[in-house]
Amino acid sequence: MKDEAKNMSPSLQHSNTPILHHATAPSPRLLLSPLLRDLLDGIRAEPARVALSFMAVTIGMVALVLLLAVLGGLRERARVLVRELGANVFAVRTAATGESGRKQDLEEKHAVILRENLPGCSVSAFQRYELNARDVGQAISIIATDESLSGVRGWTVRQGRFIDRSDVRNAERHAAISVGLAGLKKWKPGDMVSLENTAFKIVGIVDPGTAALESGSSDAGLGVGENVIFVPRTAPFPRQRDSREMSHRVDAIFVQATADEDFHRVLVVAQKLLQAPALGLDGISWVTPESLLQGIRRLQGSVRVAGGSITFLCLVLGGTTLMSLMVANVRDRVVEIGLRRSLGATATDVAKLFVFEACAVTFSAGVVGLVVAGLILLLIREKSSLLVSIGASGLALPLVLSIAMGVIFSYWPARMASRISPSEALRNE
Amino acid sequence: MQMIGVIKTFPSPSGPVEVLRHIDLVIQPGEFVLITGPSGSGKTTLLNLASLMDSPTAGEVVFDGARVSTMDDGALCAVRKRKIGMVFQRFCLLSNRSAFDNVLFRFRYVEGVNVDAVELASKALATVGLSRMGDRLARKLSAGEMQRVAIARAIALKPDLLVADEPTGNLDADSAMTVMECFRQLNEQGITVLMVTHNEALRGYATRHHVCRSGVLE
Repeated sequence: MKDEAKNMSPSLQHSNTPILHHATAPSPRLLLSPLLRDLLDGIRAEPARVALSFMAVTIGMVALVLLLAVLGGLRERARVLVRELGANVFAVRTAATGESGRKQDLEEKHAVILRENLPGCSVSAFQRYELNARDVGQAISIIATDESLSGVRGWTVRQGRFIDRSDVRNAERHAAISVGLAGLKKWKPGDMVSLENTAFKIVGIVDPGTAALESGSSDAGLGVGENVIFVPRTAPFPRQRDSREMSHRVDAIFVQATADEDFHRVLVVAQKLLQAPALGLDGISWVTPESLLQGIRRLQGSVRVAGGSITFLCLVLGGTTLMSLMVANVRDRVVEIGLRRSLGATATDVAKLFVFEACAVTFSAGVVGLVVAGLILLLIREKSSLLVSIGASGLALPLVLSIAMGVIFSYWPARMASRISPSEALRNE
Repeated sequence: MQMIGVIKTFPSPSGPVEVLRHIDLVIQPGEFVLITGPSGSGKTTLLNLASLMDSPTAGEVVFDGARVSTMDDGALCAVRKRKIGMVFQRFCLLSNRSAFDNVLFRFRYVEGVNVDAVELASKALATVGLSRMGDRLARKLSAGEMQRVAIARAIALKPDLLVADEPTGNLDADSAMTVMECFRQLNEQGITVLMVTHNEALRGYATRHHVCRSGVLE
């Protein structure tokens, strides 16, 4: 005892107190802010409970990010569909069967009716053929059309030009090809290509979009596909000579209203024109941006309700797990609360400690949730055709929500901690 | 520190229990006041009132000339932060932190951990003879060492009043003597000490001794 007593400094006030280096040198942890050290200590005190809460919140965050990504993908798909259809564009196409049960074909004369009665609007029609694969060794679509199609659909001409009015008027054997086909076959403007023993000269390369209208839409048939050759509708393409009926058939007619025109008025006029009893067209369907989005909106609604419910339940489960962690934490750390109060912590300081601890758990769970969800989304993009998309707001929302969860679900435990009387807390010592 | 007619009652199922009855106590700077008494006599309650951790049911506590009843929670915390050091029977150390970090924890609610805090914590640790133990985790210290770390934490900010609640209650005889010697030296250096214990044998360390029986100070 005496030896230990001798070790004591003769004076607390003495400035020359010998202090050993290892006692004075701040450890690296001292560089951390006191709050961060408190958080680390709090987490280390209950690692198992913290891990459980962390997992529960992470699962909720993953569910939230996936939900946002799927909804974002649907929004993106809707945008692509409308963009692919074209600005201020509606289309009319032949339905599989008419109400009378017989097939109702649209013909070039219907496009002429629209052209003549909708002044100022651009009207274009196309007829699609599937090319015999033997000729080019690849599944290729031939689109027999007019010079307006590229403009109406808002496609970009990458090289050369699209077929023009002169090509159509003179039935030139000229062709424009899609970017996909140009890349696949290494064809370029000026090359000659044989289509069922008829030689066509390539005059340009055009980008017809992502073929969204072709692949996933319920209105399949409006898209042109990826590997496409556009030829003038008047060109002597062999199949057009098969029959008189075939040569006049068109698969779809596109109408683009000018920016000055009232889109809906133009649509109504067009519908009146083509649905006139005299024409006998009872089996056509109209495709507008609104009709394209209907299916997606229904899907969005279903995903929002089903996915949203699951996500909400996951988040609430995570939050209640966190709350139980914080309540247990407060109960286990009553003496520490008393110590902090004895050192001058106010009730607010104590409450803040538990709120910050909860926020640290939820925020880190939010970050990990984002990373895990990101990996899952990468897998989805790699392995499936499901379109998923998440923007900056979609990334920020889980982080903001994670902090909000920390505050909300720790409020009650923190309030409980702040209300513990210092003397009562130390009585538990 | 002054207590004037202090009464403290606690609620109970059978009605309020009066734990302290008309306590009048004045502690002058530099005194070492020891209060002894049996368990349940109200010693710890008295200590909690003296350290501003609790408020009296009636009467007045005056600290450094200010009436405690007029202070809000923030003001009470400010006084505890700067002017009062507390030592507890079971040390109240943060077991996952080193001895030095525990002493430094005294500054947790004082603005920032700065160079002064590190220096003051080092000095306090040296004062209780534990300079070499600074890096050791609190849970790996002996009971006597833990209590000395707790004392170092209490004195690191040079408090006006050092209050100790049964500081030797969990120590063996040798460690208890070391700790009491530590208190005596601190008192000799001018720190006012108020200690409660049930151990009458420690009265020799104090400059004044009171006995608390059934809530009355004799």
